[in-house]
Amino acid sequence: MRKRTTTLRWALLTAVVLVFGLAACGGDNETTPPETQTGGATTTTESTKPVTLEIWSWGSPDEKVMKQLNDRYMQEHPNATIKFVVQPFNSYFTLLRSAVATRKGPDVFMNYASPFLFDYFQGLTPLADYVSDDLRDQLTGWGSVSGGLKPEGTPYGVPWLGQGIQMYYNKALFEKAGIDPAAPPTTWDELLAACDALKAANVVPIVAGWKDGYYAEWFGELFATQLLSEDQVANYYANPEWTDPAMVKGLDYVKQLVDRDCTTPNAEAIPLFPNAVDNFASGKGAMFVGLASNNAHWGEFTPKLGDDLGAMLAPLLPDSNFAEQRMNFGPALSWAIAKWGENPQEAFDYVSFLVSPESQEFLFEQAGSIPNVAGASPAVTDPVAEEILGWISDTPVWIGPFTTIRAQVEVTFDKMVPQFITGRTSIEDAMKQVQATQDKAPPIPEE
Amino acid sequence: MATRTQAPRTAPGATRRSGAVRAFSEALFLLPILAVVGFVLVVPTANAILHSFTNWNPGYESPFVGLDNYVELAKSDAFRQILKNQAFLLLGIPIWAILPLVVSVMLYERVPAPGLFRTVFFFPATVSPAIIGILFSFILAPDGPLNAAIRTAGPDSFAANWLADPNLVRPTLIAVLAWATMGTGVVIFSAALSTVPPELFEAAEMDGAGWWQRLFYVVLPTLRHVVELWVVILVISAFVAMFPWIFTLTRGGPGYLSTTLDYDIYQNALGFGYFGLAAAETVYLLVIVGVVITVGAGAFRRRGVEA
Repeated sequence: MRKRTTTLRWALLTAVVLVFGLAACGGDNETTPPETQTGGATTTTESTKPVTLEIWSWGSPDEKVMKQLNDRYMQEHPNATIKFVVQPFNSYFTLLRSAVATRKGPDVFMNYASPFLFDYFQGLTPLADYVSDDLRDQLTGWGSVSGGLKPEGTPYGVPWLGQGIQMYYNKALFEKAGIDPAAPPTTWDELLAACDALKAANVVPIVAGWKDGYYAEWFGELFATQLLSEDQVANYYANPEWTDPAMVKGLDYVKQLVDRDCTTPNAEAIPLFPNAVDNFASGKGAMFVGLASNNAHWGEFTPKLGDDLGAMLAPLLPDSNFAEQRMNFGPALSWAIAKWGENPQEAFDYVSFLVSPESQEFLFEQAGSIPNVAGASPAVTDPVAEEILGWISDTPVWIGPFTTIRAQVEVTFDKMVPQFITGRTSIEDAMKQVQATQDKAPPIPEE
Repeated sequence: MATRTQAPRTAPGATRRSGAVRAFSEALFLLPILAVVGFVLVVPTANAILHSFTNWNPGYESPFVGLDNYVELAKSDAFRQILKNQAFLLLGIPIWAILPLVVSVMLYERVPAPGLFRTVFFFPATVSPAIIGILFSFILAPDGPLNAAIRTAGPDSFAANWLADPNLVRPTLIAVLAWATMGTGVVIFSAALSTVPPELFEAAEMDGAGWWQRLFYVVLPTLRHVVELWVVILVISAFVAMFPWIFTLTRGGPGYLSTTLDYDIYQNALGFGYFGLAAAETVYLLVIVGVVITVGAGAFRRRGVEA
């Protein structure tokens, strides 16, 4: 009896140790925040003191390409050592959160060029004293990274590269189904007709992977935005209403494609990255909603599909507010300078190098990243890339709610995707949860 | 004549003094462990509890919000779903406890070279749960080896989305954990069985007891305390050691159907930056585990008295 009691006591002690240990996971850091250092006034202040800058990225654009840029920067700046750390994408934002909480980590870090950036606001150096008027004029996308989400607001990051969402298709599979590869679907009805023809030819019409949620964001960006008015889209930037009937209806179009068996079967168990992307690249389906730049894009697909790769704009929905097909395109990424960094001027010099026309031309040619800087004129050899760049320059571009989604909201939405795609939760209920998360999101600084 | 010797008596004052000196010296011996416990357990826990009443922003201003974090969790549909998930996982305890026990007895009685088998069974315990989780996410994928084997052996309809189907995800987790925990259980039970006199089993066998009767009437009562300990460890693990499994296998999905408390604490804190909410959730976890263990221990004790 006594032995048993002793055993139980030890067991209870073990329980307490384990649970207390978990409770201890969140250590506090009561250090006084360093004062914001505002060094030089423009981008051209060159420092000669030896500095090591730690840079965090999630590997987009490709690490090898970035290494070449970094090597070039270090050649031009012998005093600078660039420690470029590629963090795994799945852990990137949690690692960044830890860095902000502990005020230890990179000197410069990559983020999206969107309100997403402001979820790490306490770690952001205001860049008003660093960004010159010339730089403001050269780069697009300042409104995504500045206070109040206004281009004239205080910048907290430097926008970098452009990103868009459109569709890709496999011409060989279109031909197999009797669809003219030179005339991909331009309307919803044509999309459904193509879907039926492809199914009849035993081809998966649209490659999908819903498990991680991102694919529904891309679809939602293309479909839901067509049903929102210009004012609603503009309003989404700062005050999203995820339960808006237009948003629900837009996502319902996606669900209709799933219910009609137009997408990869059982795709709720397939992640977009890397599975669905690889599936399209390896010819396991005819159409794919993909990106214009950086990854899941022509730069990855052309080497595998060759001349069979085609690009198409999102088909117009029956009740679309668009008069014609349009290209979704906006700022892609941004570079922020950590508030705890000891060399903010040198960090800004490095960022200025990355956003320069020369660097962005190099990135387009090596990694297919579309520039966001005036004066960059990269050589375009890929016909699909040429077509996409033509849409960006020739059609009225737009960005929608999913491009500007907040970090917490994205996690909730992505969790709900497999649920509403499979019909286990209604889209309305899913979006109520998304809105609840939106309502809790910390405010964006006004200035 | 026998001489009776008497132990020298010490004065009462001297006894009190020596008692105090002894108590002081004992306290000195306890100090290091008390300091360690205080430093790594009490202080951080108190810190987390205090911060659960704030909009905790580590390293920055953290305004006091009273019980808001607790109320928000209590009202949250997701949190209620998480509690249901935790309750569901507890259904795995009998499987995780009995399976290794049965295997241990089989190794004890029936298998040549049991050491080799024990080593094989123990192997999963030496591999990081994260690695096993990644391995199983591949095995259980829609076009993974398990479904391929099922399709080869039988009709397609038995193939399933093991980690994406709301009806299957939690039973699948229990099955994966049964495999992952079995090795440790087998080693613990085998070690305990090696201390049991073989005559006990031989006598039961001579008395006509079958294998299952020997398991229930000889092995279980004999290993009772070890089984209790193993069950307690499993219960605690079901609450505080699920993170690597959930992170690698399901990310808490579909929806919140496989989200556990420890995973949600991580997500609230480092994913969303809601550190205060995560602290409140940690306190809930602390209380829940405390209650479950206390109730479970009480039940064991009552059954022990009855036995």
